[in-house]
Amino acid sequence: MAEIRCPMCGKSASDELEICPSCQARLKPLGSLSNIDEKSIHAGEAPVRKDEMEPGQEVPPKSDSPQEEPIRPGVAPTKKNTAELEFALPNWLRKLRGQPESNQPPVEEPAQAPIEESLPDVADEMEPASTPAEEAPDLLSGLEQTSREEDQAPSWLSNIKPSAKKEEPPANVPIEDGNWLNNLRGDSPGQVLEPDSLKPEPLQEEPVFEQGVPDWMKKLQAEVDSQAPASKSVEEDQTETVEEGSKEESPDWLIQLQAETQAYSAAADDAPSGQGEEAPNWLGKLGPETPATVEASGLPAEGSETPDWLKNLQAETQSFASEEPSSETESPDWLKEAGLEAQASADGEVASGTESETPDWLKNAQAEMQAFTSEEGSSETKSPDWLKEPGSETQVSANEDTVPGTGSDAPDWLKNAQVEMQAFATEESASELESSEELKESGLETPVFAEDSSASEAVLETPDWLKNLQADPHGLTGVEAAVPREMPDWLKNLGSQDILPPEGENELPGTPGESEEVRSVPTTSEPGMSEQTAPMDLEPDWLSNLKAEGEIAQQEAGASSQPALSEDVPESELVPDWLKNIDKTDTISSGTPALLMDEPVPDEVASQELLPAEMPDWLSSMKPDGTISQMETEKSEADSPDGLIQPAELPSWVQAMRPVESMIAEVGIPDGSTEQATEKAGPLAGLRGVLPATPGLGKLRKPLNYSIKLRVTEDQNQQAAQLEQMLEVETQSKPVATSGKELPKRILRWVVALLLILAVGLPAFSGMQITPPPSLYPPELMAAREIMFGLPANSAVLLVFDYEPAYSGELEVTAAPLVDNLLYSGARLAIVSTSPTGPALAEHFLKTTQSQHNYLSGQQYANLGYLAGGASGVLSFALNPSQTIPQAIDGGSPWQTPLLQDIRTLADFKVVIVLTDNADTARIWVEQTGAILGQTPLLMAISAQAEPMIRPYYDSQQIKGLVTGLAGGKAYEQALQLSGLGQLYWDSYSLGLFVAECIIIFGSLWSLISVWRNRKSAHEEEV
Amino acid sequence: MLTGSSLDLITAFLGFIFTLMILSYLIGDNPLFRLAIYIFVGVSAGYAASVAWQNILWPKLFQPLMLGNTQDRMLLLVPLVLGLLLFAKLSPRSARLGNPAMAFLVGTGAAVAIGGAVLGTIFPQTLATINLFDTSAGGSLVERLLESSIFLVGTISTLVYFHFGARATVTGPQRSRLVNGMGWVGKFFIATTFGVLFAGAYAAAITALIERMFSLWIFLTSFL
Repeated sequence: MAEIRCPMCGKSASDELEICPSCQARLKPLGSLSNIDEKSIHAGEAPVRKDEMEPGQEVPPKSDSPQEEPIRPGVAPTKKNTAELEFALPNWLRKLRGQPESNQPPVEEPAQAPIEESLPDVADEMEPASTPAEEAPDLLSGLEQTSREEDQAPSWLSNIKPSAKKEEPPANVPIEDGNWLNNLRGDSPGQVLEPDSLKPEPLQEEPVFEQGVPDWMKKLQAEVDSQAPASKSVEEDQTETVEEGSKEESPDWLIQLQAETQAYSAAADDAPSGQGEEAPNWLGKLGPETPATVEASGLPAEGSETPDWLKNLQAETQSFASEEPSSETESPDWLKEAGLEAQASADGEVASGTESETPDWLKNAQAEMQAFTSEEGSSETKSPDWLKEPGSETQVSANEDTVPGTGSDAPDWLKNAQVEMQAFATEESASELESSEELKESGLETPVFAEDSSASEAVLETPDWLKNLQADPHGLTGVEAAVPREMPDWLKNLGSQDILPPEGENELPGTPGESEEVRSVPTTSEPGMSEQTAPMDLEPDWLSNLKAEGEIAQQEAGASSQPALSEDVPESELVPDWLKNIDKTDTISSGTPALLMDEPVPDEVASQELLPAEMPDWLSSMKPDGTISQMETEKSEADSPDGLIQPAELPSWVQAMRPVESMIAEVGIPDGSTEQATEKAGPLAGLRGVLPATPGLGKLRKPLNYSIKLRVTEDQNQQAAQLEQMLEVETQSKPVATSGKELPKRILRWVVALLLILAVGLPAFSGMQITPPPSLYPPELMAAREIMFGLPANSAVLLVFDYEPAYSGELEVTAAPLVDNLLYSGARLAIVSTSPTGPALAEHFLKTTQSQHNYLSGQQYANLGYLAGGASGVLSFALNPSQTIPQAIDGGSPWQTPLLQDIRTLADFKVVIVLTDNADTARIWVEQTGAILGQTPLLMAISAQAEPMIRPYYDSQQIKGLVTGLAGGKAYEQALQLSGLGQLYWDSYSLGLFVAECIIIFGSLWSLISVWRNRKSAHEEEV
Repeated sequence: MLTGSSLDLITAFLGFIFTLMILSYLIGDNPLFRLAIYIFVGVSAGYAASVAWQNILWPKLFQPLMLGNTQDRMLLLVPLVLGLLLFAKLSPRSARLGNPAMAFLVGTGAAVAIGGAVLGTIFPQTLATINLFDTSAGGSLVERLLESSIFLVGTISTLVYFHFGARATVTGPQRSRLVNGMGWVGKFFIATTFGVLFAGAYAAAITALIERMFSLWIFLTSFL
């Protein structure tokens, strides 16, 4: 048992099963290949449209290509064989594509042309709609489908007809491109697909015409049948008139034409074998163009001297000259194409008489014409009278019996013409019966002139857009309108000389038969009939072009496909009503499409003109494959219930337009509203649902260019260099100064200390007196001594002990003789100190140095203690000593005792003596008490280190006397003739100073020597 | 109970020990030296605190607050509060609370110092320098002129030395020659002053050393 793989879940299953047991998906399609073959699409066959998926039908598996995956950057879009997408095409397009394949070779269009580029050019491509008839391809193929599916056609296509009817024929092939294409075109339903670009099939025109006979056409035929006898009589009259007119009133050009014809016949006699090839062009064209005259003249073949066909041609030319206005001016161009077929029959008729002298194709044409003439009588009995009109002669002649007359060696165009005749006759016979019955039922009177009657019906039943087209304000009236723009020269000349009447004239001069016919119209028809004929005359060129193209397509299609189409497809389904009218008029009129024979439009060229120049490759490469079954088509339609092509089936060019993965990741999937947004700019303007050119990115702006070069001035460069140099110096490591050896320094320190200790201690330890006492007394000392000696006894003296304990040895030696001198005077002492240790030092001073005086606290002196506040305290104490320090350190109130009882301010003291080792303290006392002391002298016993700072106050007389250091104390003792500590320390002091001086000198010399040695060594090194 | 002699002996002994400990610095920084320094610093601080309490806070603040009348108490609340706010300086977070008391102290101290400096130093010293040229002041004229000239030159040259203004030149900022000359003279006077100061310091130090040597000798000889 063979197994198949489920396309949905991928699991294996028996091939006998139709539904996957795993996922319940259908394993096999509903239709088989045999059915597909049987139901292959044939040209002209209307496809069956299915809008709904069949029950139980599964969506066919997607192709292997990862279609849902976004296109990655740099990855080329997948090249798809879009031929397999045939089933995805809409019905109309499939049908449209099926026809040209059966009739013409496939046309290669420029591949990879995006449809977006071609769509905007639709309006531009609509211009060629007015191209000459010989270049216009068959645009009528599929029109029956169009008319039948008029409601199914997109609204944009149906709306576009009125807008395009002025200059070109409407889109004869509406493209039902499905919803996806509608979405692609957006909300432009009014767009018109250019007939040239959208018509892929120029063939199969005739069957379509035959099949799509509308009702109004049938009615028209019925009316014609009812009036056939009348028209017949008119026809005969016209024929007689033509003959007479040809002889009597033939214009000069016609005479010349006859002469030329005769000359040509003479030349043909000389060279009968090459007649066909040597015939002048105008004659070759003229021959086929005058089919109606064959019947009108009814001349048999002439003698052997002059070929019959040529004689007939002459007669036809004459009759044509009179009849041409009616056939050319009153019938649209496309109706003239019918003359091509009649021409073929006429040629065959003529050729029958000159079979030995004419080429084969001409012989065939002559034979055909003969058959036509022989059949004419019988056909008249079968066909209604209206078919006996000049314009309908060819219809009658196109009988099946005439087909064998076409030899195998006949040219193709002639064969095709015969085939068309044959097919047309078959269809016509059927339509005539119907029309005759309808006519009888209606009981309407139709005008004698069948063309006019049919035209009037066409006006009544034609669509609005066609009516508008006919009512073109610029439309031509009468004969002028019937002349095609690019009419052949000979025809132009023909019309310009005799046929074309002056505007506004109802009568056509020069053509008796025609004039009678025209004049007979008002008599036989209702009033206004002449106006009703105007639309027929005003039939646009595009319609005639369509007809001509249809003729060409029929010639190229071959006779093989025609019977099938004519047999299979019902007429009413394929041809719209208005087109049926056109068909009938076409068969009636005698066109002049002879030029088409000489210039057959190649299939490829025609298809290129019809198809969009930039049709995408997938669309151009899609071919109607006969092997593709209708079942597949239905299935494809079922896959897309809405008629949309599934996104997975996007062709390569659409894939190329899809956003890449990065864009998708950045922007995200747009919602439905954005998908349906209409493009407003660019080549895709007007389209809806297109991929946004810049999804979510907005307008991109080119980033600004910033120069990376630093713009600096010369000064800035210099400053930067300087800064760099400075930083470089700072960053450089400096060599660490090599310190000297610790041992020599320490030894030096020990040596100096030892020397000093020995210098100081040796006098003390030995008790020797090695230095003499000073003999000079400094003036400040003498001033202090004078003040001290000038103190009255029992005077209040303020002693300020503002020195530190470290300097107590010096100050005790310095102040001891001064205080001793003071105590000798019996002064009352008030002791105060701005230093916390001052009161204790004062007590120690009095007890150690002044112990011989036995001063008692509270009696001879009052230790007021610590004076807080610095300068403020000094000032306060100077201003009000009793309030500043109300009590002594012993708790007594010296200000109430006789000791300090008379003291109110600092000035009340007889003398103020400041013992200090600090120049600042001395300065504070000087500054704060200078203005308060008044006449009270301020004496100071200071340390030797404070002398340089305090001496200026002595020089300024702010301090009245100074006793400085040990030397001052020794001098003061010496002045008092006392022996005290000064005397004791004097030798040590003197020796110590001497040692110090020696050390300083020695050190200075050592330093000088060291410098000298260094310089010398440096000099020696330099040397 | 210790008698005076015992106290003197202990005091002398402590003095001897601490003196040796300080002199031990000759061999370098050592614990004895540091110990002596710490002891001196501690004793000095303790003594200062005791003196402040005994001589200032108690007799002038707390005693009146406790024993004084209401008026005195109310008036003493201001220094009490300001004094307490100074303790707020111990913590950085509450240091701002001590700013008013500190401001009061600095303000009053600065005002007193400035007034005293202007009236007690600048004007008297300027006047004294001018008076040096007073020939009527007595003494030898030449001596006075010489002395006054030295004072004048010394004062001006010293002030010029501290003039750091310079003129921009090609080779860089440079003072004028006059300023440089006067500055060099002022530098000489400054160096002389420093020498005098060093001599005074040395004299004070050598006096202290002599006193210590004598105290050691006395202490040592007291046991002999």
